[in-house]
Amino acid sequence: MSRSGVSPADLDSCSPAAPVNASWQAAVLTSGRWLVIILGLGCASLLVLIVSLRFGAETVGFSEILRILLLALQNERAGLESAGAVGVIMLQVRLPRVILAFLVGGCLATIGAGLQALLRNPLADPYVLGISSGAAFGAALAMLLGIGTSLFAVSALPLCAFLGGLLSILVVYRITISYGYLPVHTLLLTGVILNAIFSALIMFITSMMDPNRSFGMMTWLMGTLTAPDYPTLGVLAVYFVLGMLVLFSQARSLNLLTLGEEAARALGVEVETVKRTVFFAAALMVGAIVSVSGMIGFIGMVVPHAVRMVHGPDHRLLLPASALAGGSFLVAADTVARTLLAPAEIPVGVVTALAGGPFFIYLLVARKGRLAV
Amino acid sequence: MEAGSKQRVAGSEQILIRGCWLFAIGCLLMAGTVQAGETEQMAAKRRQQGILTGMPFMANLAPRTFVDDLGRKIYLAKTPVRIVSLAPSVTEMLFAIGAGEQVVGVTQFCDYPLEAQTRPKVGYTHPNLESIIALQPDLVVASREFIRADVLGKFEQLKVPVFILEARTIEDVLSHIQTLGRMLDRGVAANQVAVDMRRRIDEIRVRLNGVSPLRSLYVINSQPLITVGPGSFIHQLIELAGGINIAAGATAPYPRLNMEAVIKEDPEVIVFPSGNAEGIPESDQQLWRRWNMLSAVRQERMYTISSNLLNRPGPRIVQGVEQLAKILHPEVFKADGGSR
Amino acid sequence: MTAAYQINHLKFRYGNERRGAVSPWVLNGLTFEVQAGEILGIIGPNGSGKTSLLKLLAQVLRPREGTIRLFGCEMSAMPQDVIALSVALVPQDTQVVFPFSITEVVLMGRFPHHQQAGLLGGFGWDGPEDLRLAEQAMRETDVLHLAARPIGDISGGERQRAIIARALAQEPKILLLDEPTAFLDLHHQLEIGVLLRRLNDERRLTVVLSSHDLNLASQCCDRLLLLDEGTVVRMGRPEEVIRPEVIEPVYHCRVLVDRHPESGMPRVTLPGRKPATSRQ
Repeated sequence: MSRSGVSPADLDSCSPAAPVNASWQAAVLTSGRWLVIILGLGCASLLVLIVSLRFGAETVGFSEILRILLLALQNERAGLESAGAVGVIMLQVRLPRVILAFLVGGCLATIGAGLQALLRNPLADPYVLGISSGAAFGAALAMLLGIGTSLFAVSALPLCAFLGGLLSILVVYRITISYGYLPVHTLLLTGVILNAIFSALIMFITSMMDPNRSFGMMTWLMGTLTAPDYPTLGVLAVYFVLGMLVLFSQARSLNLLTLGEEAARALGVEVETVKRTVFFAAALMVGAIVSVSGMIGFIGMVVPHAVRMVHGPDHRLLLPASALAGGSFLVAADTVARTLLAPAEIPVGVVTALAGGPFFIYLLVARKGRLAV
Repeated sequence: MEAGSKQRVAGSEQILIRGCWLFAIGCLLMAGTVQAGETEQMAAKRRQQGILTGMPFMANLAPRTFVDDLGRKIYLAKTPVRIVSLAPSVTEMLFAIGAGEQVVGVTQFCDYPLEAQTRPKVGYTHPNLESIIALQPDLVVASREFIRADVLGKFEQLKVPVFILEARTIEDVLSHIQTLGRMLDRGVAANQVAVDMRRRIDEIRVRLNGVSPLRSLYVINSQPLITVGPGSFIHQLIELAGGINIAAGATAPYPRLNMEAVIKEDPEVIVFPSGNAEGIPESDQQLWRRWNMLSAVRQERMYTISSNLLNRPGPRIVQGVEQLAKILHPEVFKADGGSR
Repeated sequence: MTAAYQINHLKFRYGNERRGAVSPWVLNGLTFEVQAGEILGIIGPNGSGKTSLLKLLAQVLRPREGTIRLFGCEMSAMPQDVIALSVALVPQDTQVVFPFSITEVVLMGRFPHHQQAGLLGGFGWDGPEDLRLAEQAMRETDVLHLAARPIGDISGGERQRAIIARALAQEPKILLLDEPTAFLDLHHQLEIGVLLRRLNDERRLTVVLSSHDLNLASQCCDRLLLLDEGTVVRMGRPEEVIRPEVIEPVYHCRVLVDRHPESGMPRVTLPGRKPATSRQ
């Protein structure tokens, strides 16, 4: 069937010769480039970890650190005894705390990046879903009621906080889910409202409490990293790493999701499954983080932006890179927090904000562009 | 022609803007003068009532004028009959000097002595102004720690006499008891209480003479670790009871302490203050068993003490110090029959 | 030859029945077929359901009643990524939140081809074949020179062409376009038309596009589907659909229909203001 209408001949005379820049291929993220960046960040993180072991109530030399670590690995009781208080400090206090800081910081940054993609909002942070205030409420309630029975010598406080977080997850999910769909604007709104409600309840509890005890609660809420024992640390490590791996697995889908849910669906993304996965992974991790360390702010929102500015928005790189960057950042901040005014400590949330803020402003001014569109 | 009309429009706009500015400045001036006038009036009224603020200290105080810990002068024309207490320590002091019958309003935390619990509750950190006014107090006594500036201002505006106490040392507590005694015409009883307290404190000092102090850790909160530091009341009590606070090197009165510092200092005794209701310290003690390199844990020297005895700068402070001293140095106080 | 689409009594509307306050039917019982290898144009006034129909054909939305068969298979039984191997949708607009480069956006079109490989399906790196297809798609839509630019930094028309490139990189058998020339200038309007014709000729690509521009639809398309308030008014060749007696009741205005001087296809012109000299 002869079709009349436009023909290529019409175009030829007016087609401008567009110059082609072959280097566009360099912008594509390849597995090679990914590996180089992640390994680089990994080495930098390791360096930060090792340096942070040096500082604290007492500055410990690197050779001493190495000796103590080797003794511990070889389970040399006699050698450890000789190391004395320093050995105990290093192995029982500093090392677990630094590892915990790395895990918490890494999770916060990863969750922040994931939620910014899920909600298509560059201002999202891990606490926007309302889970964190639920966990804080659980903790506040525990403190008010004096729930002290310990389970297997583990304080009941993180458990109550985690239950509070679980409650929030259920409430948010039930309110938001609508015929199998999870509309993100409803999610955001529900989170905001839940935050408001729980914050009000926490304030109410604070006003009811004996002022001598509410002080302890306010301090807990401000964010704290207490050195866990190794069994607890092990459980937390497995939990957090699993959660982060789940988020990493959604990286490619999150890329597509940022272009709009309909576009993503048209490209073959099972949008509702991805949203549900990211929501539950993020929410369960946030609940655990707040239960263990209170609310440490700033990292979840700003670290993903900083990483995005340097390495681009592809989540396959952004998520793991944020994890490493966020972990290192919190380790560094915590080192400052516990060293600056020794023997006293500064709440680590204060340090993250005061240190990160100006650095982020510098990035914004220097880079001027790759933040968000 | 059009340019001209634009100019006219601009001209009238300018007049309007200038008018607005003049009006605004005029309002501010008026408000200022009204305020000033008001202050004059209020000051006059207050002078009539006898509450003077901001006047320089006079060497000769009239017999019924008292100075509180904020430097405010209170003039009591007659002995107060109805008293509202806004702190548990104050309530205890009032009952101790025999003025318990006159206490018409207390906080919800005033639980000692038992009769105090029967009085109407008016709040603590957020006192209910209406309830307080309704009780028609002749005197309100509050603690500086928890009185809010706006509440204080409101009391002054309503011409309710408020007396603020701030205890920094044990001597302050004794002096407070005596001041309250003078204010309420119960000087004799108050002096008796003070003398008795001083005697007991001196006795503790004597007994602990020559006994080397023990390194102590006072755990207000475990997670995060909060303790008392120099500048806080409890810090002095620890030293008085024969202990050395391991947080003596901190700069804040209630510092968050790094666990590393605790391990380094190796306390010999750990004290957990407990409230009335509960078991938090129980599980806290469990948590602390993890640190079995600390002398206090190895020798099982972890104790609880009623926090009310140490937190309230009132007559029971001596009881608190005695308990603390018994905990720290049981061998010195064995004769009292006291046990762990 | 199996039809590309077989639509049967398709009904769709927004809203939730159980919560009450549902909107009226956007599509009210459509039944028609899209032949494989044809270019179908969907025309109709605002609110006639054109965009919703295209989204249903890509299973971005799901029908309330009725069925859609894609190459003979019931669409609602197919998973999203299998559909995406055959059908590519170019939506009307694109949300831009993060600064992905044009290349990255175009490469996203390769997503359905990576789902089968890889363990978590999460990382799927792009191989040389993907890059070649992306380059070809960008060249065909004349955005190759913008390849490294962030998607937020380019004009609306350039963005539209980039999205078309993404759809082409999907290697679909059916291409759905929602107002593809809405933001394009004359040169690029022509170019897209030529491109669609060429792909249709060379690869037997089935094209379904919706347009406000009746003349573009008339020039490019084999058949037209005229929708009004969710129902089919007329379906057929441009000469059969673009007639005053068909168009005027739907668009509620007077139109002039003549023939394009070069192609002979129907041409729609709006009535004009009479010149001042016509009084004489």
